[in-house]
Amino acid sequence: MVFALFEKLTNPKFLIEHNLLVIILRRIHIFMTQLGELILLIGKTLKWMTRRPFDLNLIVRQMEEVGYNSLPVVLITSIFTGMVFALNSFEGFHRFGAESLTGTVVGLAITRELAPVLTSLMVAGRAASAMAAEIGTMKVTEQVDALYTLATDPVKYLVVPRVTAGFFMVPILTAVADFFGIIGGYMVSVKLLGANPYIYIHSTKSFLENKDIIGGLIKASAFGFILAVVGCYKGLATEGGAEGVGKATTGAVVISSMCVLIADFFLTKMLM
Amino acid sequence: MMANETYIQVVDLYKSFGFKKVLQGLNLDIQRGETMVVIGGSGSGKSVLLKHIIGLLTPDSGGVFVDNQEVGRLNEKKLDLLRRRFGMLFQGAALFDSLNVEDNIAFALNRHSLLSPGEIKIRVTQCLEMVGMPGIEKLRTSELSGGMKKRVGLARAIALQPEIILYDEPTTGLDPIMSDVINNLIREMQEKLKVTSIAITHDMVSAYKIADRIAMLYEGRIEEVGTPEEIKNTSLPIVRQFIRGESSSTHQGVIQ
Repeated sequence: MVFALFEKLTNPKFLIEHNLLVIILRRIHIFMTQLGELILLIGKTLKWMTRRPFDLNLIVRQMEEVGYNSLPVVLITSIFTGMVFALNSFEGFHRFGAESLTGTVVGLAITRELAPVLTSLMVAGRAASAMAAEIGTMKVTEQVDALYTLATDPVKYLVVPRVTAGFFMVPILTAVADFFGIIGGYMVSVKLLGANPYIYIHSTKSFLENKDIIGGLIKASAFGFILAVVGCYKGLATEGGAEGVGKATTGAVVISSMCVLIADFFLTKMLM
Repeated sequence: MMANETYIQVVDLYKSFGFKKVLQGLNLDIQRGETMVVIGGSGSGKSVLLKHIIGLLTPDSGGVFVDNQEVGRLNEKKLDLLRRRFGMLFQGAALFDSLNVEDNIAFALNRHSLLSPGEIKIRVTQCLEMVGMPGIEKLRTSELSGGMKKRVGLARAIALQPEIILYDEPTTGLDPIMSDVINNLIREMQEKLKVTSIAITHDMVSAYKIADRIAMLYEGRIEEVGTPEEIKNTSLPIVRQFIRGESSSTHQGVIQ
């Protein structure tokens, strides 16, 4: 009875003949299914993380891919963000003669918000997409099935190393971004706009607390975990050849970026 | 090896994907040590059947029993243990392209055996010799031709000394000579390793060559099971049509 109703509701002909409400319900159904699968994947990942064998060489390779290979992108992003942020803040504060606060604002904004979020978005664009593409290709060429037949869970072999790498490398990248963002701000303020270097450094140091930096790094860990899980999920859920891999890659970037931004709000609130 | 001992039993297997009913009450018994070839048209559900046997898919109803264990109801650990008794050769070989030939073949050995690295190396060499491709350990999988990939895939499948080997379209996409090489290898595997084999194919030359028994899959059920001789002389029109490769009048109607 229920199944018959479901069959009727999901029949394409019925949809065209009837209203959009059904389409919306169907989208919600798909969304809830995917959310459930994602949560199951997180559970499985956490379970496999604690079980032998620990594939250290795989983890190191992913750390290189997620961390080391993302360094140039993160460096450029953070330096220029610090620079432009200093430029804008200096201009704004200049209007009421509070230029000395530029260092403070740049320091706080970079460590609390800009470095973790922008780093994560960059890694989402670089690494989460690569994860979805690689795992997606493995899925459509039956390599994922081959893993099962060799008595190896793909979550263990493919997902755990990537998520571990995301969890540890994104905060490290964020720390690098913290440093270079502040340097960028300093360069623009002091060298370009002629701020007093002593006052700039003092105003950065005196208002910046450990918890700002640590809070930012904790967020970065969470973002790294999220973007890697989403990238892997999209990869494992890939269906249908090259087109499917393309869709999975795009989906991985879009969804992981959105998840990072949404999680950012809640984590920031929690860490206050 | 005991003759006529049912080793793998497929009982009343049903599977649908969305609205598409693929398997509709499929029954098939496979004896220990025999090579069973399942033939059937494209999209008839041959691959789906194979994936049920090794537990990559779970049935909607019915079940697959391997050595009296129901595959779909095993927990993760037991399923893993059961899978170690299987080797599977995929249609596109499904070699891991991030690893070279040696690491592909050694994959299961590295993870599931207690062999030392030196012993694993020896085993890899043995497996490559068995499929007639010695000395290619260090090649990348992208450097292999289609036929070579299949043979490396077979070497990977036999690395853990399985009791059962599954072949998914072993000769599809190969030239006739390479197909014959693969067919001979499949026969050799059975003779040397005494494995139970299940192959799915629509290549009748291959089916006659490797099969002890042939089963014809049609519309989600097994239409007929028999020795190659029996299948050749079948009286069932659907089977006769398939093995002779004749398109039916209804198909012609569609084309016109």
